[in-house]
Amino acid sequence: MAGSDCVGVGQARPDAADIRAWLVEEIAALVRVSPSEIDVHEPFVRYGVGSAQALELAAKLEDWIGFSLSPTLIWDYPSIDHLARHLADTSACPESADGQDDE
Amino acid sequence: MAARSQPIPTATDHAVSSTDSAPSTLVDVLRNRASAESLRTAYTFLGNGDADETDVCYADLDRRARAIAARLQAEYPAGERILLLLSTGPEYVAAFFGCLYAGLIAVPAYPPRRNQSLDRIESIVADAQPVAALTTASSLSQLAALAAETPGFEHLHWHAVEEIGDEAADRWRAPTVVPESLAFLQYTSGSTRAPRGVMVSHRNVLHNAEISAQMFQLSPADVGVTWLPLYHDFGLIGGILQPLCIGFPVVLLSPMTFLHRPLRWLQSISRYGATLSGSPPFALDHCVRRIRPDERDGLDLSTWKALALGGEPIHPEVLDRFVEAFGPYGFRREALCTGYGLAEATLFFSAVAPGTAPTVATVDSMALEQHRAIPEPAESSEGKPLVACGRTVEGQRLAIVEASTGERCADGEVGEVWIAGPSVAQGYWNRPDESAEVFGAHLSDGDGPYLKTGDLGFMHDGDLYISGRLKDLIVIRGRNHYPQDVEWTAKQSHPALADGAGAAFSVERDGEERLVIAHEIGRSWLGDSVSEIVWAIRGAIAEHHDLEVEEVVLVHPGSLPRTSSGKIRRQASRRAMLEGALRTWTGRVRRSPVAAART
Repeated sequence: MAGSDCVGVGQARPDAADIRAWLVEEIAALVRVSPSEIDVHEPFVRYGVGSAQALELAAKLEDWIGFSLSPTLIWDYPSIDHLARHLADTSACPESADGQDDE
Repeated sequence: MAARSQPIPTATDHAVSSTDSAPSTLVDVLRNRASAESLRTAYTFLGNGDADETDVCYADLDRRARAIAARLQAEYPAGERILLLLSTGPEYVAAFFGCLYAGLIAVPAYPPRRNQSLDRIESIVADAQPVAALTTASSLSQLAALAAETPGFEHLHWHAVEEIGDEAADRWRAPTVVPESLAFLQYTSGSTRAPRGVMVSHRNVLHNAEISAQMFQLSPADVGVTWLPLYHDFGLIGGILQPLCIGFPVVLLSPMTFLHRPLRWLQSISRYGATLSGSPPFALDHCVRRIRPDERDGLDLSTWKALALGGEPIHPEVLDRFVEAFGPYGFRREALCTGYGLAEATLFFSAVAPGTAPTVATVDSMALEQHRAIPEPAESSEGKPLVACGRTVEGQRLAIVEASTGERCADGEVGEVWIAGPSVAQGYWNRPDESAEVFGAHLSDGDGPYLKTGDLGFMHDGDLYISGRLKDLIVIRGRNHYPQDVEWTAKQSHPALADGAGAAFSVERDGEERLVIAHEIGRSWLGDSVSEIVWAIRGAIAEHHDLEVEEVVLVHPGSLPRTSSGKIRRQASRRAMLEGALRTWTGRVRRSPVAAART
């Protein structure tokens, strides 16, 4: 979805591996387990993450990644791996990162 | 068909006649405003971006409602139910009033998210038996496809609100709606497995708006802000209907926007000079925790005269933390209007009036468990501080009752809160027996009928205090959860768990209620994978109830406290867990599903 012509502006942006690592750390802290126990392919809900925690995570992610994200991201891309790959694409072209907003 | 062929007044007749006297239905209220102050903004919907706002004036709303109603009238007889699967936005209010303008009964429901099934609204559909569902064009194809696979949804007709053109508005015929007609069914109370739709009439809403206006000193000069979900009574009635009845505009954000960025709520109050904005108390802590001090700069909360608080127990330290954090930005403690209300009484029942800081009474916590409220000094370690829920207004009645005998309690005695007055709703949809029992209670001296609220409380210095629940309802973040539903989900999540041997309850941590599951392991279970069981429970509860589990305690067979008939005693289980008296099964282990699968 992100065109290659968007890449390379500004400072280095996190790639999929960076984002995956960040998400693993955050989810592990949130649900109080060691990061080695988190599987990036499992849906967030399997870790007992409900909407309140998902939204806190989305807000933290937004601060870390430096551009605005749709709050529904975690439902649209329901595992660490999905989300990291999507964000790596869009962080090369952040204006396309905002998804559809709903409840 | 007969319902539609009877003579009904035309739109013009109706508009003329209804301006003669005070409006008596929500249809009259909106028709009157659309003719008397047509271009005034009724609602402003804020989107994700700062500049993203949509104003809806009374005339716009009236035209959209007529168009939608004309379309619905052509297909469905008055009195049928219409499911609303819509998020906060102009389409929601248009669809809601479209139903009312057609004499249909609106059934607001939780709009499913992407990648989510319809299972949370299945029970509402089964209970309310709606003929059609209204949604947006963008979710129509996805929802209709999901519905085709969901039992009970086969007969539902689907409409996308935006696809109904304005030209239909001219075909609208005013319905025969009287004050006693049902406006909507409110499904916030009741278990998901046995839902109860509170039947709210036009008169209920108008009366509740009147007493709220009195209590919170509201007039057309006020400005409201809300982020509350509109399928919930607090959001729908407090955020949409009462402001319309009283005649002041409201700025609306989606719940998602608030939960994601709570600063947007306070910024909206600041920017629009809002005077009224209500919420369950969890939102206050959400603001304190999630709005950084440097982000608070520039907020001006001095116009906020009433922060109506209700929907869950109110802990005094939550109020203190909010005042401490936002007092420097103009927020006043006297704006805290702690109160009490419930869907069965439309919304609002009692509150501390604006301009008066809520009283905190400290009572003996041991005596409270024996249903006696004995005042203690505030600093007492045995004392439990409770926040006053204020008083009600004239015309509403309250009794504190010993539920088993129907006797009125003496001052200082804790009993069930019974209430009466024109805001008490019409009963539960399609449940005459339960409605008679809950809505038609009489005191032993014959006084009645009263609504039995199921809440425990007492009177102290003229104020109502709520001290607990007669039943074990779990209230987390303003949402009601029935323990039996949560226990059922937990039980289904893993074969190791014994039948009918779990207890779901909440414990307070940091002024917030959190969910704990205590569950017995089946006698014949030979596996040893504790963490696998714990994660199965947590995952299932997040998926089906959207709740995070604070702690899962697995215990030996037969070790949870039971009644003589063998039912688990939830409150006794809770006490045993807090005292560390449960025989835990291989300790409390928190590990991930993956690691568990490897063991």
